[in-house]
Amino acid sequence: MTRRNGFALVFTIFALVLIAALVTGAFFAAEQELRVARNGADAQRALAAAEAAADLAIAGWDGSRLNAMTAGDSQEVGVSLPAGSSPAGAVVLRLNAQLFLVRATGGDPAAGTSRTIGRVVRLDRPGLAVRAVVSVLTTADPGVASSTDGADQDPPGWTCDTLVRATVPGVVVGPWPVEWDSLAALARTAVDPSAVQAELGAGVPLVLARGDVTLTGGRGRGLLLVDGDLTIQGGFEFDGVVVVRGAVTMTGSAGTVRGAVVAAAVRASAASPGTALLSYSSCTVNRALETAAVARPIARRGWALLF
Amino acid sequence: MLLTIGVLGLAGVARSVTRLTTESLRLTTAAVLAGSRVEQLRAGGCVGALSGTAVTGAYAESWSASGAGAARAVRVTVTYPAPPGLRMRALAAVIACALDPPSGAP
Repeated sequence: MTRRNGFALVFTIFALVLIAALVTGAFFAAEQELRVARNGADAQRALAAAEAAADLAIAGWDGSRLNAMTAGDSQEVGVSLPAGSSPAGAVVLRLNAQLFLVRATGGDPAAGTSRTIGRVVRLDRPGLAVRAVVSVLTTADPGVASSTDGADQDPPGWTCDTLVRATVPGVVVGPWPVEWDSLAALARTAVDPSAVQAELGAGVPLVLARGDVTLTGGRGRGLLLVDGDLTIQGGFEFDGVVVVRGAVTMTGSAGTVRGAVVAAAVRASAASPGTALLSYSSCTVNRALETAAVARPIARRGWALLF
Repeated sequence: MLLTIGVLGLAGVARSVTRLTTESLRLTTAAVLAGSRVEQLRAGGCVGALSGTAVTGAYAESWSASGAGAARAVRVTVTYPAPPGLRMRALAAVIACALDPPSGAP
């Protein structure tokens, strides 16, 4: 009897090993694919956080701090991201007189993923050419002229590097030196007239109010826009530019405006005739216009993934 | 006996491969849907509808916004089946209202 050796077992084991190798390879590939998918999703969260940080930095633009930077300076901007976001931060770098680069980084520490983007924004500065202490559209009371001082002077305690000082007329009657709509567009929201004094006191650089406003006592600075009448009384002091669509009335012990006033009409009755209630200051005017400038993202080629 | 054990083991691994592949596909699709929804909301700005739901195949989206003023915080969640239950992917973003017309502007 001849003994015949079988090969079925050897073949089966070989086939199993081969198939196991193939399946292991497929398993490894599938696991890698899942890792890639998770990394992609985490990178998306990091990018969303970076974009959110940049958007928040622009939306909450602090003109009094950021607009005062010189070209080449940079400042970190604190942003409060929505719950569930990856952590992120933003830095604003001034490129030149008009342009800023907002550099924001978002990252997910759990995944070790981060994304950095850059957005270029430009300053939209209010276009206002001051021709006089008081520019009125229609009328100014005869007493107004004696209450104005057109000599360029800095407010007490201000440090201004004004190179050229010019004296402007006290009162000019004629077309407005500025378009109301373009000014109002700089303010994203209007505040309640009763809240204007608090906003000015808090140092908000641009305040827009729709309705009649009365300011009594206290101080303020910046650019004040009133879509109505403005009454200043009780010694209120303002440094900057006041633009009023209606009439400005300064009564009683009145107050002081150092800068410029643009209105439809002005009525001023100083408690002591000859006292300058309205005086010109190029320093306060320039600073008001500079700090009130808002940042607008550049629409095209203003966004880049840095790394 | 050996063959049976081997085949059963291979079947188990093959099942895991299928599960991993399906999970990565669904995770990627959910992330794409969430990102796409954020971009749509961003294009609509702050004046658009910032909350709602939508269903795309097996994926259920829901989004909502909070906050006021210059920016809105948006949260988009995508829920998809991942046996034995459901899995959720969330994406938080911010929509800046800077380019919207000012409220009450003349």
